[in-house]
Amino acid sequence: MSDPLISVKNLHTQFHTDDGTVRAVDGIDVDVSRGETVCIVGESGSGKTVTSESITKILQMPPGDIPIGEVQFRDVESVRELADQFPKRVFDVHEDDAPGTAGTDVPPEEDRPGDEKHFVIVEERSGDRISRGYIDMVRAPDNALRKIRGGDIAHIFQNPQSALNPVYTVGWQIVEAVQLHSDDDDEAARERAIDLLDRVGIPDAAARFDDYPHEFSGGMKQRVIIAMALASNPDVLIADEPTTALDVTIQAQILDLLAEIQEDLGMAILFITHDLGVVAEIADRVVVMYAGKVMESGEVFDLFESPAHPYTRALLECLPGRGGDMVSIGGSLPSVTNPPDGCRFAPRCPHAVDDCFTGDQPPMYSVEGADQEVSCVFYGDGYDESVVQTEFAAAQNRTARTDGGRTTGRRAGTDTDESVRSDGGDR
Amino acid sequence: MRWYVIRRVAWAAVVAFVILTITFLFLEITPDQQVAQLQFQAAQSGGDPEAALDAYEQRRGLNQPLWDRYTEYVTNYVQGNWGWSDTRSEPVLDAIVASLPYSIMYSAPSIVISTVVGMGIGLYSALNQYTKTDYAATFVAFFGISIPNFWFGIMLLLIFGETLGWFPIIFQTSIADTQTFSLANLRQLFLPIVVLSTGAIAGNMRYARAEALEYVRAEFVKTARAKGATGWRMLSRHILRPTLVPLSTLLVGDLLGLLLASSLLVEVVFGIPGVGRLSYDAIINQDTDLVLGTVFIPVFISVVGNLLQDIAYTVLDPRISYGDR
Ligand code: SF4
Repeated sequence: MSDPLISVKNLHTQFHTDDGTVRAVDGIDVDVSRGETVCIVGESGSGKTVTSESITKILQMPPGDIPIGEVQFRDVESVRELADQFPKRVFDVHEDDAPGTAGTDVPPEEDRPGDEKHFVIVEERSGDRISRGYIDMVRAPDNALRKIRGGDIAHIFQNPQSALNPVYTVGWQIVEAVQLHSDDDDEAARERAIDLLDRVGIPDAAARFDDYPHEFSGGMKQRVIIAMALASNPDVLIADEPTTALDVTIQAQILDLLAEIQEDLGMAILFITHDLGVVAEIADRVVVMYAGKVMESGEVFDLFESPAHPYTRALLECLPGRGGDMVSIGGSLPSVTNPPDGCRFAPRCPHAVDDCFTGDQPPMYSVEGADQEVSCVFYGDGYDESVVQTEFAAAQNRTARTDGGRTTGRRAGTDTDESVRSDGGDR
Repeated sequence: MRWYVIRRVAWAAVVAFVILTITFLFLEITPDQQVAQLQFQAAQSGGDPEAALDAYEQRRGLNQPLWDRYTEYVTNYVQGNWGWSDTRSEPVLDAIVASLPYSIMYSAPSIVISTVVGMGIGLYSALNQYTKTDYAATFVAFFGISIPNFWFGIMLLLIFGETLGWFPIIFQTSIADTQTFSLANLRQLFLPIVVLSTGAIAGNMRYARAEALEYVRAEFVKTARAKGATGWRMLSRHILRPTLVPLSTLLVGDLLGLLLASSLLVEVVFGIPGVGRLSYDAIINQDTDLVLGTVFIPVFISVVGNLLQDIAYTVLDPRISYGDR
């Protein structure tokens, strides 16, 4: 068995603004193992991009802030390297038996090993060498992260038009990425950069080395950005909606390229998207986010075959070409500054019962017979989960008819047939 | 690139030419004060106003056809023959050349100081947005922009010159002439430099802050961070370098214009016999040729400044192609 390469644990990312604290990510768990593709799916505003940018902390901090949570990066080589580089900030789980954390391999939430200054956590040694441990990215300082960013965990972004610096040639920008993580001299780095450009399918790479970004098309720019991300053979590629800004044929090409590279290099991909069609194509595992929380996660086949959460159902029913009526969920995302009690989806959920409006987000329950976890009260004790395993649109319809007069604070569920029949054009 | 520069230079020449022409036309339609005076004098002493007018026009060449006068006027300007200053009894160009050094003495340091300090603070502010230093800097900038230069100058003179006696109140040309690079000269130039710099620093600061902020938040800065760039590399390569593109516009052209405009007030308040003062006196004394000459100086500086700015822009921003402008 092996530990996941990246474990996001109880991550809370907030932004302090004049209008209060925006709780963009409000306690989520995501695991990414070596070589696999994990997709985080959600509408815009669900916190998926913030999640992806919290992992290596490339978001602006301040105003961003991660008060609670841990992002474990379990690459033994990096752990060893950083342990040598920052000996004072290493915490050895077995040596320093702190009360509460003694002997636990995975520390309980809220109760992380060591204190704020420790970010290299050592769990096992064989002889002198560290054989198991992780780097807590949340606590790691910038000068430790600089090695991991681009070196072990690379990013590609949504908008290739603005992700490249307009005043430098693409060659310069890739060479920079190469040299930030190697001792290559200019000549070697240049060669490496040309190889990379070639690898990502830029025709006549050597000749285009000295071109500026504005001389490339959108799809080509995205390829350049991918080349830059590959500069030092990362273990993980975090791709934040890398195809959204591109037109359909180019989208497919970029997805193919990513799959191909993944196979070659054996890297893991954390793919952020709102597009379930893309998910079906590339994902091994899926995490469905809604309003800063995880609604459901699981193996892609199980999740598509038998979506457990009403929200996942609704999303899938929105997909064109799945038969049945197109559906619009109706209503809008709850406030992230002042989130409602209970299930975040409750105001829009046709199955919501009183329990859905109190307490915190329901815990992640395992779904029987499937590699799937879901945050919905109907999977807890005393509830019958088959209630929510019906067609979302039909449920919505039914609620609207029989339940029209009730006002339990849910606006969306009481929408009329019109919203049910609309073509899901608000995606 | 070379063609682009040549085209820009040619264009600048055209602009200068147009300005000359417009001034000529304005002069043509403006009633000549001196003529009125001469005619009045002639009438008073029993002479013929018409004859006086003829004599005057004869003397000035005003009886020639409009076109001839126009070509002569333009040729004169191009050849550096900018007319005769009646009040100073010397060629206009000589008067300007004589006063220019005094203007440069305080404006050159002001330009350097306001650029370096203003942009420095602005960039620092942008990188430390919403911190106390940022707020302090923004407040200072607000103060610097709102305060009227002439009033500020007088206040400084009253407090530091009159009351405290730290700085001389009267500008001494002899010191400036003989010991240009001396402490004594610096002392008498200090207050004007301060006055002129405050406004310019504030302007620069606000501008630099706004521009840099845009780039601090830019997507490609995030890309750079994701690559592993941090610290000074991040700052200089990924934020400052692109910020230079818009800042270059401010640097050359507008800054010069700003300084020249406020120099008139500063020179009058501090009694510095520079171009601003020359212009002021010329206006007061209705010395038309001299007024024109002193007005052309900032005009031509702006034209040249704009030219330099355009060239700087193309050098700094690869997206601007030399062909299509
Ligand atoms: S049934 Fe309740 S807990 Fe389940 S999704 Fe709907 S609102 Fe949330």
